[in-house]
Amino acid sequence: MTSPTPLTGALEALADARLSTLQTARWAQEKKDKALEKTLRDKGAGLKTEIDRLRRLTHQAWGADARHAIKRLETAGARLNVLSRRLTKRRQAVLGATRLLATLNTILALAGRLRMNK
Amino acid sequence: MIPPPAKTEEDSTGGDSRPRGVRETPATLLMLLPLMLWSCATLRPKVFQSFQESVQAAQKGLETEMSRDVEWTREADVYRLAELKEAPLSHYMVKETSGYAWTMEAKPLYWTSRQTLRLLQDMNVAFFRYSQLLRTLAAGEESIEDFDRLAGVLRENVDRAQEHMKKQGAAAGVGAAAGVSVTTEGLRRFVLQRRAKDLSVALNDNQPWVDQYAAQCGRLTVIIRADLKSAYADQMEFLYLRWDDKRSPGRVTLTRSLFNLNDDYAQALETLESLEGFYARLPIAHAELASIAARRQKSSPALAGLVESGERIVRLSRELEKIK
Repeated sequence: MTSPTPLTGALEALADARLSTLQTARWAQEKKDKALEKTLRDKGAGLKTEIDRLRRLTHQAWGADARHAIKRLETAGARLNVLSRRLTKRRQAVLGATRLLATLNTILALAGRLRMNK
Repeated sequence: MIPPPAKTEEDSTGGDSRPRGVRETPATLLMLLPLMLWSCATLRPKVFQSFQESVQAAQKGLETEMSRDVEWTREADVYRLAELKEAPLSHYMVKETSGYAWTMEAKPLYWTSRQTLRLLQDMNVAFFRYSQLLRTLAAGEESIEDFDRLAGVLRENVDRAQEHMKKQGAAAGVGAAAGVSVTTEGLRRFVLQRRAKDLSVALNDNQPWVDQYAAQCGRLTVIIRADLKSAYADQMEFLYLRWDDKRSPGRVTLTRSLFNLNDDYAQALETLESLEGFYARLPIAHAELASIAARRQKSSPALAGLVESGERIVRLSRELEKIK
C-alpha cells in the first residue's frame, strides 16, 4: 500500500482529530454540557482552518516530489498522528474534558508550528 | 520440443533427383520457421489489450473520486461563505481581466482540488496514449507512418502534463518532480524490425516513467481519502447544526442526507482502496509485459490482479451511479 507523505499523513491526522472533536461536541450536547460543547466547537473551527491550509499545500505539492522537498514536516506530521489517535481513545473512554482539551490544544499548537515550517 | 529422429540422406530427399542445394531449401525453411515466428510474431495482443483496458478503468475510477473531492469541497465552501456574518464577497469576484487571463483575490479551496483534477486528467491522457500505443504495436497493425504520428501525439501529451506539473509544483514552492519521461525510440525500432526483443527493451526503458506515474496516482488516492474525511466532517457539522434548528428542513430529510452521506463515504473508501491496490500493481504488471515480450515468462500474475482490480473499480463505480 502507498505510504502517506508527511503532508498527507498530517492532513489525515488533523481530519481524524476534527471528526473526533465533532463527535465529542455532539456527545457533550446530548449530555447537556453546553460549555464543553462550545469549547469543542471552537476548537473544531480552529482545526478546520489548519486543515484547509494543509489541503491547499498538499494539492499544490502533489505535482512535485513533496516527499523530499518538505522533510521538515515529517516530525510534526508523525506527532500529529499520535496525538490524533490519543484524542480518539480519550473520547471513547470519556476520560474527562480537561485531558481531551489539553490534547486538542497540543494538536492545534503543533498544526500552527507546522504551518510556520512551510 | 523433442527433435525428430535423424534421417539418412536418402530418407530426407525421398529419392528426389534435384540438385542438393535446391533439395535442402524447404527443409531448412521448415527448420527456421519456428525461430522466425518466435522473433517476429505478434506479441500476445490480448495481454496488451487487457493492460490497456484495465488502465482505462482505473483512470475513470480515479477521476470520478477526484471529481467527488472537488464536489464535496465546493459544497463545504458554499456553506462556509454563506454562513459568514460579514462575507467578503468582493474577494470572490473576478478582477483584472486581460484576454483570457484573470485574477481573484481569494480563491476558494475547491479551486485547488479542481486544479489537481485537471492535472490528473492531463497525466491520464498521456498514460492512456502510451498503453494504447503498446496495444496497437503488439497487434502488429502499425505502419511506421502511423507509429510516428501516434508517438508524436503521445510526446505532446506527456509534455503538456509535465509542464502542468511544473507549474503546480512552482505554485507550492516545492520544486518540480524528477524529470523522468517517456521514450519512443525503442518502440520505433520494434515497428521497423518486428523483433520481440526490441519491444521488451523499449518497455524496460519506460519503466521509470511508469513507476513515477503509478506512484503519483497512488499518492493521490491517499490525498483524496484525507480530503473526503475532512469534507465529511464539514458536511456532518452542517447536518448537526441543522438538526436542532426549527427553521431548517425536517428531520426525515436530514436523516436521509446523513444516510446518503455515509453511503457515499463508504463507497468512496472502498473504491479508493481498490485504486490504491491497482496503482501498486501497475508497475509490476508493466515490467511483466516486458518479460512476456522477451519470452522470459508466459503468464503475468500482476496483470491478472490488475484486470481483477479494474473490473472491481468499474463495478463499484456502477453501484455508485445506481445509488445516485
